[in-house]
Amino acid sequence: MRTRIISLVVLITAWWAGSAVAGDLVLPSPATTLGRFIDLMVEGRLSLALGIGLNALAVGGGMAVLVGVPLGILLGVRRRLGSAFDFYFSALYVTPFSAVAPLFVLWFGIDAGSRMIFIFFFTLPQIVIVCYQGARSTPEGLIEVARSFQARPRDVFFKTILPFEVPFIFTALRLGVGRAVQGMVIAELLISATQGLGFLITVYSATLDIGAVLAVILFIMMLGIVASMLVQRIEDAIAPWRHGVTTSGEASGA
Amino acid sequence: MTAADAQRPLHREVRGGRARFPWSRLLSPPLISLAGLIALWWVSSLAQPRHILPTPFDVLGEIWRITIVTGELWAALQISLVSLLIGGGLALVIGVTLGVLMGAQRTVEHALDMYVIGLYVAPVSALTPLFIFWLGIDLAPRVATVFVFAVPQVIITCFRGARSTPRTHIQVARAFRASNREIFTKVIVPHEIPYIVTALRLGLGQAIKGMVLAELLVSTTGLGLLLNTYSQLFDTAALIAVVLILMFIGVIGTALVARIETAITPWRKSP
Amino acid sequence: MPDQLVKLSVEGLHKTYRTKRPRDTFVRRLMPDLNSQTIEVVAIDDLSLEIRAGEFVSIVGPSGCGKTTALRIMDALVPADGGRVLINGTEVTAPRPECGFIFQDFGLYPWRTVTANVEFGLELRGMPATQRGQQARKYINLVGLEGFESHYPHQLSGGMQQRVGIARTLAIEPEILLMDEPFGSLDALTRRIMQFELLRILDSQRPTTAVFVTHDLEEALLLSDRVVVMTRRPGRCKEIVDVPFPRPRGEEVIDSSDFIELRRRLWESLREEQVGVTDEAPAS
Repeated sequence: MRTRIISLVVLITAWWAGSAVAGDLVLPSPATTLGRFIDLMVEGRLSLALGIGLNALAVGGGMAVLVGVPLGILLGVRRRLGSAFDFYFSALYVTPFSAVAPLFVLWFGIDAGSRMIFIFFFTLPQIVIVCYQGARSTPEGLIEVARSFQARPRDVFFKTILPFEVPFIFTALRLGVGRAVQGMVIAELLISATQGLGFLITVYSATLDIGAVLAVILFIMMLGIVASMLVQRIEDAIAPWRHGVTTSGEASGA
Repeated sequence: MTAADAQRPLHREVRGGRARFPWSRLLSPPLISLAGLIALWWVSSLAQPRHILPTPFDVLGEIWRITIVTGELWAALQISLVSLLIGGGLALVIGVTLGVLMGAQRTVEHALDMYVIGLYVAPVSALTPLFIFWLGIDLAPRVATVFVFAVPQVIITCFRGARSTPRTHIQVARAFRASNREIFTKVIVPHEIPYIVTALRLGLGQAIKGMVLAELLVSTTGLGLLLNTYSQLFDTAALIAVVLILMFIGVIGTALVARIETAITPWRKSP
Repeated sequence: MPDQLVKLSVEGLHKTYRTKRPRDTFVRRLMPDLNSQTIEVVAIDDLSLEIRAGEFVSIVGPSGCGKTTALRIMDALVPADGGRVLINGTEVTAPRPECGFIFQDFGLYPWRTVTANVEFGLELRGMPATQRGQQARKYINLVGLEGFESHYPHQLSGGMQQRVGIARTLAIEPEILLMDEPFGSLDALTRRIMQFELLRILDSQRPTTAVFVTHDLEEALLLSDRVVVMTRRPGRCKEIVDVPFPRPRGEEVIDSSDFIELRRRLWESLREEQVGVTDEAPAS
């Protein structure tokens, strides 16, 4: 714990020193940044932009969850379907999705709806893949137990596969939230927004208000971190039996 | 037990199990669904104008054009590749070092873990405009973006690797009176190598995403310029072509590295 | 004896596995699909057995002889490639309600408490909740786990977890118990304790027919009325040894000279089979 505090102090000191050296215009000091942050909060710009961004996030990300979880489980349980379609989601996952943004601009324009669709497709593969792997990895032993008690396929699904799946669904949610936030930022940067947090970054960059830019960026990054932690907390509270679920170590990148 | 029993074969080999081309795999579910999807695409595209939904053949034509005829895709990719190699290389070197250090020393871990996890979870794409402001619109911001995209992934993977060296392995080496250097080279390093390869694979994926994003925001060279040009020309077919090619490269690249990964480490059970 | 009802009979059982032999050079490992070789392993070859009502029969044999596979085929958890299994005169095609299976790795559901696990089979049969609760409690007490009803499996020791598994299977009151090395994952001391526990539990439940797979000869002799010795892979029945100790059996049985003599006999029989066993293909 002490090391962490020391490390944090070192970072802020280095920041301060750097800003003294490079000038407040190029690298605003922590104080300037904090000041701009408070200004933005008070003016309500931050909450407005956040609200707009969150709107697209909630709809796009929410749809991705509503569609992705059942889809992933379905593909995991039905082997044929799974092997037919899992390739697409893996492929989407390793594709640099930003490259799709110009296409979306052409197809859907530059309004909030377009960003929602972008966030949806950006988040979906992550959720499908995690739920898919979870459903597929239900230990054969547990399924055998159910069959030895003459369980019908329906019972096997609801009483064995689905409960085993629950921790994976939470992992999917946690990773999905992080990914959705990433998607929101990229959408706002690329699908040229006239509103939203990405827009704020672009505008303040152009007006050389770097303190504000830093403030917004740090705010966004805090957002991503807090959102992930929140879901982690909920997961811990709901699932006390969590059986050593390991997640694939993939980042919620672009 | 009779003599006949003693000679009962334990197993027998099935004829024809050797390297014949698996023709039956052409009828596999993934290929069938692919054919279905393309058919669906083609049917929908007939009702739409070319700049909204080009036909599969239009796109194929564009793929041909930008790769073979004008080669403009390769020219663009070459420019983009520089940032990938530099940024990715840096991320690998620094990431492996930091990751292993963090795994080995608790103090280092506690000092840095907040930032690593922060960068891992947070939307680092927000940093790119800042990089553009600080570093200009040439190579530097692109390298920086690739770096921050890839480095958290590499660090975390190598950290896990270093942390997971089984104690027993080290104790066995000590019991055979190995020196510290020998423990490092004969126990820790072999254990770490698969993790480094995995870090390479995962980091590469992240690096490519950073590269493309930076290109799109900088948009004066490389892929970014290409994509923006096609956008302005409403050349939807070319846009789709680029996306498909990038997807293809991503899939092949990942699969190749994954294969190499398993081939290098035959002692690991399948994941 | 000759008039006793045959509860379960196995006739000419045959089972074959196909596996791929892995490649071992770097280049060949890059393309595993094109470079592997399929081999056929005969796990069971013409196995026939008769188990009579109320008797406890153990199956022993060298590693990989197919004894666990045979047990799984008896409850239709694994399909046979030849031959058939009859229970109460009718052929087995799907897991039977008259059969209760106990697994080596317990197979408890980690998200269910002890009580919920024990109620599992009853739930599947549509038994109403209050009745389920009573039935579950009865068997939880029988296996000696009263007080642990609300615990989760990860909070219990190995021996306790297996007791839950036993309670779960007994709760559906099966006519035939099929047990697949149920004490194989336990340490030696716990194993011995559980063996006597099993004797105690089954004594109060008699007459239950039981088929018990194990590699532990003493365990087989302590628990069974008859012991079936299987040959090495491909497995078939080598010989059947009667174990005439009277029930209930106490600890003194293990030290009796008859016990030692039977153990020596089983050991001799098995040792002939152990020569030349390889570990290439999956074990039974």
